[in-house]
Amino acid sequence: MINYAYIIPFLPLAAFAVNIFFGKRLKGVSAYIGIAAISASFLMSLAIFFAFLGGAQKYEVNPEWLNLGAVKFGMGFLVDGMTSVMLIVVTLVSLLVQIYSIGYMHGDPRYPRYYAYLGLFTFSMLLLVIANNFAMMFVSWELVGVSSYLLIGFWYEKKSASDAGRKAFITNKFGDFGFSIGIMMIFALCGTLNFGEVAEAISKGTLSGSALTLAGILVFCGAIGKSAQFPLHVWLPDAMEGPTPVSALIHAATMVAAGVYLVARTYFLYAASPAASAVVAYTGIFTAFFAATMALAATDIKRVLAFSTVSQLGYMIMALGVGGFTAGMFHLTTHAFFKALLFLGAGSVIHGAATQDIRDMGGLGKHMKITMVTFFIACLAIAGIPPFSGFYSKDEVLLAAFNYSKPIYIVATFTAFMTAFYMFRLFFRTFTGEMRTKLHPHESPYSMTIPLMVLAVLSVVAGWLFVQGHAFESLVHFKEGAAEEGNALVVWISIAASVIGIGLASAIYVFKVVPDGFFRNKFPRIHKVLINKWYVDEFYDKTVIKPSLNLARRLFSFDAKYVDGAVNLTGLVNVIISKLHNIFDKAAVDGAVNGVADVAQSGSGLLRKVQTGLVQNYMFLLVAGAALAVVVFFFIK
Amino acid sequence: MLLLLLFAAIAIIAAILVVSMKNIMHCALFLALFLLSVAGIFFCLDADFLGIVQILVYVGGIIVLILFAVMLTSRVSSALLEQTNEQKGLAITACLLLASAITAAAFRTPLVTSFYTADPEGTTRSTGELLLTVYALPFEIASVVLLVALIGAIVLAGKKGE
Amino acid sequence: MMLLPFIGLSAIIFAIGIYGALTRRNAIGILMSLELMFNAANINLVAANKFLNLENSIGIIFPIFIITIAAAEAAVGLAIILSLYRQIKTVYVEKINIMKW
Repeated sequence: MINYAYIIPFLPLAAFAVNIFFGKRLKGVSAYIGIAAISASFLMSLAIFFAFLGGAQKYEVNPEWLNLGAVKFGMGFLVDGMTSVMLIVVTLVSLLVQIYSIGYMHGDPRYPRYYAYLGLFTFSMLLLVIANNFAMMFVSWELVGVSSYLLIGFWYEKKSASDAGRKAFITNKFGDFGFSIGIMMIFALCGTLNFGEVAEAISKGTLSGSALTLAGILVFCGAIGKSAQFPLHVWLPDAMEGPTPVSALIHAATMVAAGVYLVARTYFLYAASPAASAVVAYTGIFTAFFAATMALAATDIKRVLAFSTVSQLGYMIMALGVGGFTAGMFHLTTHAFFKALLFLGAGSVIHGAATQDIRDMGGLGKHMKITMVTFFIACLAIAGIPPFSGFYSKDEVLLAAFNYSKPIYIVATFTAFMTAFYMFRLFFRTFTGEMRTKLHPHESPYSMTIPLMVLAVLSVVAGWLFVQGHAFESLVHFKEGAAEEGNALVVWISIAASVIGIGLASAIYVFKVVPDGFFRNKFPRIHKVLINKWYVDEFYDKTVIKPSLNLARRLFSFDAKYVDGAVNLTGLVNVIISKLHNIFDKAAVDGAVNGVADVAQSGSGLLRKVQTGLVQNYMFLLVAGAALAVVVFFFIK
Repeated sequence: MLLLLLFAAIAIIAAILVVSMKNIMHCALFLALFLLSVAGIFFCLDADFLGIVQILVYVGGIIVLILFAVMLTSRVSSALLEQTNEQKGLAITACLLLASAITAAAFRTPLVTSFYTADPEGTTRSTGELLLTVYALPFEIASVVLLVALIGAIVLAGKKGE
Repeated sequence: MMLLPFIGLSAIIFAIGIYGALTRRNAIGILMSLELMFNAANINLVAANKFLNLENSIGIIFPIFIITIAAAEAAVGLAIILSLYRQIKTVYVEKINIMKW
């Protein structure tokens, strides 16, 4: 079975081809084509997964693809325990999302095209998972980016959606740029792109020292873009403009995890370079913390989840950086299940209540029982309450951080506390209490609730199943060795952090011990910073700085009127945040940003003139360049 | 030998006329002349099969296609319009540079060449053998490419405007 | 040294082709220039086959494939031009810039 693993990606590709070419005639049938293809892929993945559970060996096929004399490129696939886990995650979530979409996308005019794009995405993601070399990884990496772009901007009539698609694509390009340079560098120094051979070159010392560190950091740039790490996290919240099932599949469970998978797949780079892994660890923990603070203040249900995703991705990246290879991948797996569940639950809420703003919701639990129960399970899982899956993986991540560095561990635990708080803030505001505005919520159809239930079961049992007999450890490990010793202290502190977070949320939103809006009124400036996402967007984009500030001002006065929406925990980190705020607001936003933006604007104004839109002008430059190159090569050398 | 020189001269002159004539129809006719003289060159170089393919495919097929396209698209009396764009001078310079650079590069490359001897047997037999043995797969793939292009052309040209 | 004149010939024809592709305003003219370039490459290959003492006729096989591709290219290219002409009523390439922002 393992020998045929390469078939898995091509089934969704076939579905894509059928749906894109014959979609207009197929109409509703297109969904079943997509689902049939992905089901077959899923069954194959399952078979491979059990083969590895049964102790199958790593399998690699590396046929020659391009032979350039001394340099040979292979184009094959690699299946090992980690791949099998990823295959399961991708195919299962994709399958459930496609089933869910039958209900969610019902009646959309571009329904077949939607399934075609989903097929394309699944194909590229699976290709990424089984790639055995950097070149193939990069190609599928870009394919994933393209399909994500297509899906974010799926409702391109909406300007915000098409803008978000572009933003995601361009932001990712920054990371990919570094990634491609890193690949070229590795190729220049090692002469090969195959993962195994590069790892060998590193162990032999062909690639070492600062070059290795630089290569590691450059490759990590790709992960920063795709996994929405600081400072390229800005695209992910905006990407929520896409259809909600897409958010669940791409922007929660699979594509954003590609960055984590990349770091894991190329872990030999980081294992050999402590400096590079330190960069990974600190980027991860900073992002985890940073995104969690933004999630505290957000009021759009999908955006809260988006920030939470960024935060959890930071967690995984941090885990890889601190040496918790298995822990990071474990968290990726469990997170895929419960975050997909959260997003699909949010989709169900949006579908039923026709609003995304949690300030308008409340009391929906009475009308949407299945959604509420599954959402609650997912919240418990992400908060890390035993025995839900999130507990096991988060615990391992924290343990790895604990063994690596105490400050990172403390921030990680604090982030866990914030995670529990904002997730339950979301839950309580959405499903409990009184309905704030007149909505007519209704439960979603079965095609939507059944995937929710499947994911809910997985969110409960996945973590527990995987720790039985170190099953996950045996599948996904960097080198052979005993599992890290558990640490009871870490476990209890992490549970305590989650419980305090949930307690605080219920104190405010259920028992009203602390008045709603207490922290926001007490620290209005911090709230403003958080609700504006630390001004990072403004930092990047001067062209929208004025509208955004206007919006911020309006939001601010809006908030002052409404006793609603809250920032609660920031009091505890008041000092740190005000300092950061000062740095960002005064030095960065007002000073450097304008300068950078001015340079960029005048520069692009110049460059724009080159873009005449006439192919013949471009071709002329091409020919002139070629002629010059020949002249230089033969006459000047 | 003399024939070769003649064909080469015709080819160059025809090629220049193809890119400089104002009437696009005349251009197409000179392109036919050019292709015929190239076929002549092929014959002189003992590539009989290739010469015949050249005449059949190019002169018989592509030229006819191009003539059709010209007739279908030039309702406007395009002969009166300027047929070249404003980057003419620059383009001439770049092309001269490129041609001289290629030639100079060829001069500098050490090549073991033989003198011209007419091969009485021709190369058709060896070409056929190679095509059906070593290059059988590429040959078949080429036919698939042609089929795809055919279908593509029908789809593109056959679709009525929206 | 019989090969060099042929290389010169093909270089000249190639440059003429490029010139045409760069300056023609009519899209069909550009396609014709492309045919010139294809032929320049073919002349080069056939001449090399003749004078470089190769064992088999690889220099003749390759032009066959080039001619195949050229035929496919011409068919698709002309079809594109025809459908463009139907849509925007022109074959002048500088008018075809609807993709420019």
